[in-house]
Amino acid sequence: MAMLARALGALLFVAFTPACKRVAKPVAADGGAVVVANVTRPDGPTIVQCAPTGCPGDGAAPPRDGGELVVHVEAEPAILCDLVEHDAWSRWIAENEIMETLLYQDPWSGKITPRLAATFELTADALTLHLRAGVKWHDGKPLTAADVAYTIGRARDPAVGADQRSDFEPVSTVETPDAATIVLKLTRPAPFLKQALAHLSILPEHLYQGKDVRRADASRAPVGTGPFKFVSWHRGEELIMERNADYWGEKAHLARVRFKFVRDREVAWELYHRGDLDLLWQVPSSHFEDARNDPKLSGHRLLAWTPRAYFFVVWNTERGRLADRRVRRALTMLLDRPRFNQVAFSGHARDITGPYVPGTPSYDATLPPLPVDAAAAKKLLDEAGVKTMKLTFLASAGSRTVEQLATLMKEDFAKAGITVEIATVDFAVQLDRLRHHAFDASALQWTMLLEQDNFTLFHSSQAAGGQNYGSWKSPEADALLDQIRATGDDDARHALDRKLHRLVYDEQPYSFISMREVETLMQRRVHALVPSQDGFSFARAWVDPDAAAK
Amino acid sequence: MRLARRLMLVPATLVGITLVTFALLHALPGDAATVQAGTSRGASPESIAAMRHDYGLDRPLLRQYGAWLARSARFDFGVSLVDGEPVRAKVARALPVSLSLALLATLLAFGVAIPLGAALGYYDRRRWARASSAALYGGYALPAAAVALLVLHAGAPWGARTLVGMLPAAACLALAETVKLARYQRGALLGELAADYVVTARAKGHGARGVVAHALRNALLPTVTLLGAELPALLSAGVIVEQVFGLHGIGMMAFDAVLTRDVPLLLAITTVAAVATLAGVLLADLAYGLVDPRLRGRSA
Repeated sequence: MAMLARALGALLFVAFTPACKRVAKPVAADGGAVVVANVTRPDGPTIVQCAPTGCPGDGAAPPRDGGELVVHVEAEPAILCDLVEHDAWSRWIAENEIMETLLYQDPWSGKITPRLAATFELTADALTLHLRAGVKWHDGKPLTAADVAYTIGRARDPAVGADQRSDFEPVSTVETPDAATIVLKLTRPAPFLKQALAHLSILPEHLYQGKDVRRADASRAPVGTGPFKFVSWHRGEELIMERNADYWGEKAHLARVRFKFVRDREVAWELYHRGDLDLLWQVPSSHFEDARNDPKLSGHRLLAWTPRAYFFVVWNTERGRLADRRVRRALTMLLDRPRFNQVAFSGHARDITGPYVPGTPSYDATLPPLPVDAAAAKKLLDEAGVKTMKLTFLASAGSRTVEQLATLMKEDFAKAGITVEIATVDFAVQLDRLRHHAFDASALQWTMLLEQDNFTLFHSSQAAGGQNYGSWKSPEADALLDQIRATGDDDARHALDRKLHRLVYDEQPYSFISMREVETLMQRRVHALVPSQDGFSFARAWVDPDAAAK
Repeated sequence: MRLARRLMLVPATLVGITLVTFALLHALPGDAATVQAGTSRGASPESIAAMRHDYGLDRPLLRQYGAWLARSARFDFGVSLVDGEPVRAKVARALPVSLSLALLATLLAFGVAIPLGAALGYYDRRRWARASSAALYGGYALPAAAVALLVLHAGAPWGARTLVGMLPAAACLALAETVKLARYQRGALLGELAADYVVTARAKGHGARGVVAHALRNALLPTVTLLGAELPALLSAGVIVEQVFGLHGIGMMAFDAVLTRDVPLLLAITTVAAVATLAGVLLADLAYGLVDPRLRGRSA
């Protein structure tokens, strides 16, 4: 069997090698099939390079029902409620698995299809959704339009501070003419509304009514409508969900998924080798080479994929010389980003030049990363009249990546006579200083949606209390961001997105560094499990009950 | 008498310690509301203000502390600001893990350090003893995380809650303490061996056994004093070991509570740690009496 798989893998490798070269250039998010190189070797795992269009399943034998999948989770979420918990794992555990959204967005192509809403129509002044009949909450109560109206009400409530709130701004009222229909009345075009509904888990009103969403028991023991039911959560140890036998759609194959909370990647690596974990969500970068070449991992699958997140340095444009775009451009050119990628990510990173997902129509792929060029940078600094400069870099404690960036930045900038002081603080202090613009430079990572609305990041109105931490105020950007929000037509809006991308590229309110590649490792017995920014395909995955974990 | 006086000091000490913790937490920039709002797109000054109001963080500091004190006197430590779970349940879950780990580590540390230190002190002139003393410094310098990872790699159990399962973790936790205590014990014995009474005993023809029995008893005093401090220190020092061996204890919980500015949780943990410290001091007092009859019934 293993021999056959290996032979098949080798065949796939040969068959797909030319195609793989083609995807070196970004492709349209909605275009083309999944392109992949499957390399099976006796001296290491099968390496699957995911394409910008997604990761392939292994497409092996017919799925088998039953069995348990043990998943490594690095960051334990505080609660499971996607309105207020912004951690990726909170979504990956709950959204789509236990809880469900009205619509579904393909994590790679961005295509939106029905889910809890069986049908939906978007017109200029309303979005009408009709709920699927016969859907029940895990506690047996029926799902109704009242649950949807309640959830959207919470998402729009400024006091809740939901991530999705700004997407609902065009909505004037939420009506429920009957138990299965929801009408969202719109005051202006709402280009991001469908996507927002694909990332808003519907909450059971009967369990949340009158309670604070953060304090409600249901946020710690969620009751949803999804293919898995919540079973238990032992903090610091594990969270278990089991197959929902009464699921309205295609039922899950796995009997159970056990999420094990292991913060330390080195420890997780060890446990994976013992066979205690089926899925190692991220191979530690110190083990990139071992993971690829360890004969003990032969037959395991290693999926290399790129989450939709970028790492960047934000410049406080209120601070002296940093207000000058030439200075910001010079700083980007001084920063040796390829060297950083090598040091921090062992080279497993992709370039990014602007605030959109590369490969989507919003991203202007014609813009090359600014060169690393100390001479040109010095020239720019001369033009701006900068002889020497002193910067304080606000680093978050405990992040090795930021620490490495800060050290390299100090070295790189010294070449142009710029002194960098590193102030390491904990995350709460960093957030506080960012919000109050009490910093010169800092590094963060943003996760993007396929249809990314950058209003909260770059609009001048968001400098006070919003996410525009660098206080970048550009009338041109403001006009574009306002226009983008009011443009319903996809092509026209994407053209505006590309314009904003170019403006941000010219002005460099951020130095865009890179998107980090993740290598996810899975045991031989695991099948049809693929990662994406929006979570793993637990509902479709299955395990071979006859195969031992190791 | 002494016990009664010590016990009377407990409430005052607890109030003092929690008040300082409370003040320090509030002196730091950022609070639970800003941490939870994080970098969310939807977070706004009004959502942060609403959260602050919900958590009672907008009330005057003294009133906040007073309310906490009144509640905790009834053993109601409130709910965690991070996930809404009652703090008592959280602490009740983590405390047995940390306590077992700390007790095991203390037993190991003292059990190994006292004979080891005594042997090194007694045989101080031998070459092997000198070499071992120097090697102990090396042991002290080993980074705890690396040792723990090596032990895990060697096949130690992960996430085991049984006493036997926790032994490797406890050994890692005890390592640095053992070295420290052994060196302490060695020094103390060396000091005693040079004392006049030992010289007299030797002159009177006492053998090695008798001399050590006398000297060791006196040399134990400083080591036992440390017992009071070791137990609570180990209780909170477990962060790295807890993380590597998958034991969710108080150390990890306290660390997270500081990062997330979870005031009620951190205050409860501080209270527990303070009680443990006081218990450790009491324990050391009682142990003094055992070791040195002169101290029985007297204030230490």
